[in-house]
Amino acid sequence: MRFQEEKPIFLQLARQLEDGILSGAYPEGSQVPSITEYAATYQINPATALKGINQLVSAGLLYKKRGIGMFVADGAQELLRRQRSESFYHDYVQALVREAKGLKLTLEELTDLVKRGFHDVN
Amino acid sequence: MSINCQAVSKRFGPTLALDQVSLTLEPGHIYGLLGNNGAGKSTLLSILTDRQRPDGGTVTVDGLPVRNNDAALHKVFLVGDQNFFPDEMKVKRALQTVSLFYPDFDLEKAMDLAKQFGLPLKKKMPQLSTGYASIFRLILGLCVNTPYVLFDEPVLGLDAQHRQLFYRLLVETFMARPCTILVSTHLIDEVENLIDYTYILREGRLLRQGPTEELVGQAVCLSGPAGLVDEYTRDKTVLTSHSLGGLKTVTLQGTVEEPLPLGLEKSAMGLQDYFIRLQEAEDRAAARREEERHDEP
Amino acid sequence: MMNLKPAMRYQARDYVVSALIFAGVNLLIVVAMVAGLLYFQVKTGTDSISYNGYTLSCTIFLFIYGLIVPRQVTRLCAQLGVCRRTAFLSLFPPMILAAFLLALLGEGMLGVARTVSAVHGGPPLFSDLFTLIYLGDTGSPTLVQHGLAALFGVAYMLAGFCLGLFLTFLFWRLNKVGCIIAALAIPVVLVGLPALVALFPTLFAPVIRLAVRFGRLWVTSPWWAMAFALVLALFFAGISWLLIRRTNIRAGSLSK
Repeated sequence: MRFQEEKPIFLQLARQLEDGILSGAYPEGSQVPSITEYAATYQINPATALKGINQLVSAGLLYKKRGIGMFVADGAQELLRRQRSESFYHDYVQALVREAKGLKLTLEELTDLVKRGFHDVN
Repeated sequence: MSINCQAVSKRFGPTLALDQVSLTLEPGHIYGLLGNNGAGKSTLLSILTDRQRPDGGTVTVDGLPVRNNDAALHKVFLVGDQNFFPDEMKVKRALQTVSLFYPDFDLEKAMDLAKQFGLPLKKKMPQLSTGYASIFRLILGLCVNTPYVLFDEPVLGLDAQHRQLFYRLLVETFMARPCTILVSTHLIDEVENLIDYTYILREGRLLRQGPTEELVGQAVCLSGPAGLVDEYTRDKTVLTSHSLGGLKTVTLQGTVEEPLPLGLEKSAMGLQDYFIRLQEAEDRAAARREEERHDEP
Repeated sequence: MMNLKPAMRYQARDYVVSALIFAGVNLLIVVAMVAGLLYFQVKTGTDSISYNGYTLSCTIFLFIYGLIVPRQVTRLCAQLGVCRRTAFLSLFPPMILAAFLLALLGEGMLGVARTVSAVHGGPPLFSDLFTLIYLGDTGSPTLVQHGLAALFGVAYMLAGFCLGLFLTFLFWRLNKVGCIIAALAIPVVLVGLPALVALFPTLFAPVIRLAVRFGRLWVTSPWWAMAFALVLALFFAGISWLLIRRTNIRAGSLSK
């Protein structure tokens, strides 16, 4: 994972972990890599890695088993789906509509494009 | 429990290599010491370890002054860019000698790391290439288990693979036991996410210091049509500016209020960019002062 | 609390090994000479071979060590968390240990060689500085005299080491121009001063008288000679410390 300079590192890390949970790469009940592993692999300060992990802990997506590590909470996938759906409108739809209006697309043209997207994209 | 450096100054003939530099190194942090060549980084690190004597100021380790104090010096290990082992000594014997001086030295780990890096154990110190001389010394730093480990240009001459291996091992060593690490390097972009507190040295003075996040957040990169940029930045501190055609990019000290006027784009800065822009701004300020001095009758 | 042990242990190993090798080489020479005497009927006499340079060669051996070891140890200690004061002090015990080893082995070796060769009759084949000066080179030294000779040897080896120590730190401290001046000054003083004294005897009369008094004391009293060696050693060691206490410790020119 290459870090972009736009968003704080810990947020990018949290996002990547969330993507993993959502996609099922980190199934519920499974262990995620430790702080040391994250920091060592991505060459970041462990405090930053901890901050990213803690984001998910406070969102109820991960929990800590003392002496062992961090695990994906039960129901995390569903929880995440709901969270993401709520921010989907703000993060994607508004930007989409703004860009479409900038290009002078009508609502119909935009809807057609979205339908095409549903068809083409996996 | 810290290394405390108070108002340290060092003069070499007419030049003031360090001018009233104060810094503190506390446990649980990976510090960065950045600066251009000749800024005084290596001199400062030598003074912290009593290899050189300051002309002013004091250095204490956990409250003990370092001057002629074995108890204090034993807690700090400096991985410098020079070899202090006898020329006749082979790498293996050198590792054993370190073991003699540091009972906590992890000789087994050192041997294992030597294998991982491909460090030849039978060669004598001057026979090692620049890269392997650095590797030998960084292995010492990673295995010595002192409360404070200072790395001065640890990856000089190392290929990309070995550099990554070093950073990985650095994090693992840092997490294994409570300690304090300082890295002084020119390869800022490689360590910018590793160091959580940064000291920037310029011409012997501490130019900036602070948590890396804060420092980097102190500057912002703005670009857009030249006219718009100029208007927006009229009342702001501009560090640097570059123009290409009608497009202008500036670096501003401070933050900007969002949302920005249409046409202007903001991007965050990494530590290396921040460092370079800062130096450029200082260079220009110094040049301006030089001009003013010449203009005076 | 001074961390002397690692630095001393580090040096002791090299010193003991080198001292044993050095003494061993001398032992081989002595054995060869004894064999020659006993089995090959080598004639002794005023113009035949004799062995009497042991203490001198040991002193030179330790002088050379004084030239080489101090910088190495100071640098090594700087890297390994030992301050320069401890490094400086750590130079002496291992060196004195080596000196005692060399002196005692030498005395033992010479005592046996003398006894063996005395059986053969004729002027003694094996002697040393101490026996030549203070025992008139007659008969076999007693155990006490052997002990005294060993102490004498140690004192001069110590002085030799400290001279080497002084020279190496002096050249470490001086810049290039200073080194050249110092390097030229040494032979100039060593040759020039006695030459001056010889050319102007009346001007230097009191100095010459003092030198003669001193010389006489030196050849009659081994204790006086030992004291002189120790004073020399202290003098050079003291100046060496003054040279090193504020210097910047850097790596050598060969090392990367």
